[in-house]
Amino acid sequence: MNARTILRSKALKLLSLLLISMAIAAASASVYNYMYMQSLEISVEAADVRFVTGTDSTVAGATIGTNGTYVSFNSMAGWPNSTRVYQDVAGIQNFNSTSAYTIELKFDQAGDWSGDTPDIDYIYVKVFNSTDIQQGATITVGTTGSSTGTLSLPASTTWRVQWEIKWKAGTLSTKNVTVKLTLIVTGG
Amino acid sequence: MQGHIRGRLVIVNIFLLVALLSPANGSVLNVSYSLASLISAEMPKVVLQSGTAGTSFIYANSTSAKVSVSASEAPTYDYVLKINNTVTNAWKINLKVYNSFNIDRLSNATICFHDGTTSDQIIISGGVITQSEGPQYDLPENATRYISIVNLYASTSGTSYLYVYLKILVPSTSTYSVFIITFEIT
Repeated sequence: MNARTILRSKALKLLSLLLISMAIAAASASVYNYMYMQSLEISVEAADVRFVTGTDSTVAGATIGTNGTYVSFNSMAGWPNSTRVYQDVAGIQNFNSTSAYTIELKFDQAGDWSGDTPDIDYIYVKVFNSTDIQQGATITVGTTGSSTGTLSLPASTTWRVQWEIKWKAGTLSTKNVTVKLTLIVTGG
Repeated sequence: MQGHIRGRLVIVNIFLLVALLSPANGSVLNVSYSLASLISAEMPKVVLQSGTAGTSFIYANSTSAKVSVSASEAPTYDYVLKINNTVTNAWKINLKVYNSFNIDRLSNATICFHDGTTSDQIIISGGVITQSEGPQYDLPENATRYISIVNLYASTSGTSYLYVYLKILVPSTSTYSVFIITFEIT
């Protein structure tokens, strides 16, 4: 076998490898088709359903967010082996004068409360209308998915939110928990 | 073969159509948050203490109690419990029956607060609870109020139970703490 034959053989092998690698590359490549979705003028509008202050907002340390879409409480407390009831920590108000909204207040997931949760006997959250009739089910904080259920909040109506807190007997005054609830408003 | 490929294409097209149309049926959701940060446990600022009449048992944290009296022994028990305000905040207090058992044997009984003035909170007459919730009564700062049972008469022997809330209201709000007091009347 002379040198030319050897070179030709190697060239053929290289060519084969090149072709195989090109074939693999082509097979691995994706075909892209680009489509576009364009939204014109996404506007800011005031929320029709907002949190508002209630009779017990001050004692509960309530702060309503700028747009009424957030409320926090920083001074709720309870005595061990006794139930503390905040009957009206905040209201949920429908500012629309003609349309009802579907709302749902819920304890969404396990990560929505933290701290000394084993020392809590219970925390219940209830929603009441203006004639003190409970709307929907009781929310049990700590139970994933516990919710009022979907409720129709009539036009120009405010419902109050009640919290009931009970620490277990013997709980020390150094204990605390943090809770997050989610209000889902459908429509708008 | 061609027909097989065409069939698959039809399935893919249906899938794409469903995927595209689904968002059109979706809802518009607005999500708001309510956050309660630092719900704390604190030492009770109002506590129950034993009385000098009947038999009383104070439970953990002094926030619930059981009182035992006998209608056949005496018509008046003054006092069966003390309510002690340990802080400089004032409160409004009242009693409310939330359950009862074998009350019809009691011809009369009145449970009241007192300290100078008297406030009838729960009244039983002719075997019926005629007043199940009392009016609000002042519990001033660092003050003590007393719970008494008066006019206690039973028509038959037996044991009756009154399960009562002591509501301790923060003035000018609708925030209150609830203590449970059980009255056992033989």
